[in-house]
Amino acid sequence: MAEVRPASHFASLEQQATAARLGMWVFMGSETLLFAALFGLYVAYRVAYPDAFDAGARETSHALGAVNTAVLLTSSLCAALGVDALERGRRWLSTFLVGATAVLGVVFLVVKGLEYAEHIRHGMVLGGHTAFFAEHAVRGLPLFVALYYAMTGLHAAHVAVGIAVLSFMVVEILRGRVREERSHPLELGVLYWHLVDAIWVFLWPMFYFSGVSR
Amino acid sequence: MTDRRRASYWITWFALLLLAAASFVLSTVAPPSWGMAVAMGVALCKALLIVFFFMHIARYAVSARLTLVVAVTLIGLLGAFMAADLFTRQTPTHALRR
Repeated sequence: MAEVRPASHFASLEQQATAARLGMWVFMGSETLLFAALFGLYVAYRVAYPDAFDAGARETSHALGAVNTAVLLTSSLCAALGVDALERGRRWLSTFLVGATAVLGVVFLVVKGLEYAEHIRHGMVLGGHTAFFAEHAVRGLPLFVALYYAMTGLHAAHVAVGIAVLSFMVVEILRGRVREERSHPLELGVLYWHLVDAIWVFLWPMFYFSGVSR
Repeated sequence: MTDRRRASYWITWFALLLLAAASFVLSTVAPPSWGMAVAMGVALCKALLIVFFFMHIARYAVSARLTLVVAVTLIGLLGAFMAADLFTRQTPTHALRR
């Protein structure tokens, strides 16, 4: 197996890992701000059109939203255990756990895709010119629908990127390029996955809860 | 040490599922007026569990933790200025609904 050496512009592997960790946290800070701007938009429009947001949330599937939440939370557990396994030198266990995380990510996207298909079938699409909007004559409903697709779609794109990153990590672990002495690439990929999970815990009540109790 | 860490992952996961279940049940009985505020509070608790126990924010260097502080501060500023706009504008937003 090849010796683990730092990139030429780093004095040591530890220095390289520290720089990579700082870069990852800066990146995650910028991602948080991206979603924060959309959360702000959601709050502003929800204050303006509370009835539309309650009516819109009644159209999303409460059960599928809950399933996806459980899937993502469980995937985060697998990811955390995967890093732990690699740091203990248990490469096969780590490969299995990181692979399971990516598979759960795919499950999340499939469920989300089924939800989108159901919405489109009912005419809950962008633009507000379908029979769906005529039936639910609530001012501001197209704004809810636009924000729903924008925010959950952006989140789904992040999940897709996370799946790609974790799949790449599985390959790198199998090739021995990411291993016990050099585990920070996996640690950083998993950090990104946890961020995606943390964003979803806010999206879930925002688009699935309001108006359910009525 | 690593045994304790693994145990903490399982406990965190269990707590996250419990909070999600509580949030789910609450959303079916609570009126939207305050139910949403409680649901977002529960979501914040879940996010903090993820950041502290899955992401291990406390293990990272001060420079890395500072990025989170900056992000949270900027989000706070965004929220404050938005609230100031929503509650002080000449034509209140809620009037648009009429």
